[in-house]
Amino acid sequence: MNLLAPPFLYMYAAVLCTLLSSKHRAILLLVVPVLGLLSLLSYSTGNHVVLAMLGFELTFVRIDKLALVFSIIFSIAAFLSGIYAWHVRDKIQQVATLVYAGAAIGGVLAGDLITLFLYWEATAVASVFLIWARRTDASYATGMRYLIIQVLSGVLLLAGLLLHYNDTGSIAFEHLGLVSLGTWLIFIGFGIKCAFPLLHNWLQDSYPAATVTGTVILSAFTTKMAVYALARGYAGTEILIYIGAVMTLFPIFFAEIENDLRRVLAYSLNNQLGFMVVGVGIGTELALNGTAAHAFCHILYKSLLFMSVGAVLYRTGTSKASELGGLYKTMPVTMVCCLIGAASISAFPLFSGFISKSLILDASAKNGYYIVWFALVVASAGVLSHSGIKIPYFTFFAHDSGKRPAEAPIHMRIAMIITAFLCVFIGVFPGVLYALLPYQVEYKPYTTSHVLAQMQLLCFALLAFVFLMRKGLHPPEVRGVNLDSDWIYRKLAPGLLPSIVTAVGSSVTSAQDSIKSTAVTLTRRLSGFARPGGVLSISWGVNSMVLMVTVMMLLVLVFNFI
Amino acid sequence: MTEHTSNNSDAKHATNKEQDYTPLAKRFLWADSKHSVEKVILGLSILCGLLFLLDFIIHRHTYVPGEGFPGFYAIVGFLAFTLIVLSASQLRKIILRNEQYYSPHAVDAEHYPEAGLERLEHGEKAKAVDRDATKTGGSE
Repeated sequence: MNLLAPPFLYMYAAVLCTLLSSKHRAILLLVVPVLGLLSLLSYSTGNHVVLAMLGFELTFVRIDKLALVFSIIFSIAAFLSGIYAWHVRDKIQQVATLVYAGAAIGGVLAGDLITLFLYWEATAVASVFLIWARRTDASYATGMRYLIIQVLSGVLLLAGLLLHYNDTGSIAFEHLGLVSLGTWLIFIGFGIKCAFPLLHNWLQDSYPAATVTGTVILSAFTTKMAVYALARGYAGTEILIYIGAVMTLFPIFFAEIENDLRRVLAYSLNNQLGFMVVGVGIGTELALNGTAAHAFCHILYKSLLFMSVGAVLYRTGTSKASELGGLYKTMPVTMVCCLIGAASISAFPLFSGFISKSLILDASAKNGYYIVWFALVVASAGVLSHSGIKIPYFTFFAHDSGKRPAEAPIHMRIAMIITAFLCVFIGVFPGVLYALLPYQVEYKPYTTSHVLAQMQLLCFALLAFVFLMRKGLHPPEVRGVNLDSDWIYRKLAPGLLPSIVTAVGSSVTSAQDSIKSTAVTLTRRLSGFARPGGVLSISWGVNSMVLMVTVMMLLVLVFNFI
Repeated sequence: MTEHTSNNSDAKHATNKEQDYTPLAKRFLWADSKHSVEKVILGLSILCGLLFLLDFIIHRHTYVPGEGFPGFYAIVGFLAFTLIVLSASQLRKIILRNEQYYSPHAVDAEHYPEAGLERLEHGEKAKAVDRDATKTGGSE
């Protein structure tokens, strides 16, 4: 059974994938997630596949409810993206997908920090190929930026785990808390992958650069593995509440004015992670259930949104809002699926976002974090603005772009319809998802108060949209790039580099010159002593010589005694 | 980007006639009629009014001080949305740059590579449809 652990299955499949014909590879991408899920469900709670390596006991499969809910949704996401990517014949992308999904599941199942580190880096290395698979110079550069940041996250994790091992003698991946330099480093390593504010730019930079199918796959794993890692290691760490609250708010403004719809979704992903991070920070059973549930629903509706925008990109060659509009006429199925995704992320009642976000909002209110609660309510209205309205409206409605692309290919439609079905199913029957959650908590999302409050919030936000459109106050879709904090390392630092190099270079030369000139004057002075008439060239008397020798011998004596 | 990519797929529906649309698409044609959109907006406004009135009839369970204030969510929803959009427009004035700003090290200004789309040359059922589409587009 050891050899059939889910992450290993994906790795075997990745090797096998290199040998198969293109059609069989596509089938393999569907079969492996199913086998992986079956293998996963065959384990009982506890540690399995414990292998002795490098003098450590490494736990490759640790099953508990928290790990289970994340690895189940990862398997589902891998399966759905396999359907969506049925047409892809690019071997590199297919192998990368298998390794990436397997590594993400491996990371979630890891029972110790070393195993976690191995899979943590594997996700980074495998996923970058989904960006490079676009095969342009620009995507190569973007991929490099992505890889550097992802590997940095892994290096921080490694440094942190070494320090932590030095402190405690344990590599177990249990609750860590911010207690030492080691745990802080691990925390920042997790934070990079979780796209904490100011550590977030890799996400918005790289996801829009990946291939049509690559972005769908990328959106599911890396960040949610980080959320899982935070929930495992830092539940109840108060600083996370505030980090999460900031994360829910600031990406909204950027999403609102971004033109590339896949980047809008990347900002929106960042905002959704904020809700999960708040849940981890609060750390009560209700809040952690909320985080797990929200991650589960989020992977589905975010995949669905990326799928529908991807289908548009596939058919029209662009995902820019300024170039799109009026596509509902010929892509109605994609449009309806996109609307379901939009309703789910906006948390309309009967859609999945509603039954998961409420848990986190309630947890923050019940624990007295009123300001954070209010931030989350405002952010919920913001989610409606960029993901709920902007994505479907400017793609499928708004001004008619005149484009009449064919409907998405049948396999993409199937993937989208299944995902959309799951979003609605979970929204209507939340009990199915709640049963999977880490803790036994009685929670009823469909109370009159909840539904009424949410409907008021969303309908009035919609009304505000109508009002702003009428008044011409809604920002139009224009082509362009919006600066974010990555400007510092993409523009400012490289811009300053030449002047820094010149400055350092010139100061080195001037230092060399001054050393040289000092040396020259010094030798001249010294040689002066030996010239005729200098101190060293005069003849000394016997008396003074004897005195000198005596002094020297005295000194030797003194030093001997010390 | 539009020049060479859009016409690929235009072929199939180039007619742009309503009767060619699928039944599902026809159900949404109201979106193009100003009159119907007005009706929908009126419907939304009535719904909002009703939801607002319900606040005076139904007592909502609240945890947070002020949450019970009648119309709390309605006001927050409307104001938050408006303020977000307005401040985002201001933000754009500061941070918007030309699409070429990060070129050539960013994908913003580049066309999605046609080869990377892997348009279904090999696909199953969709083959016929897509072959048609690509033939006229002629960019393969």
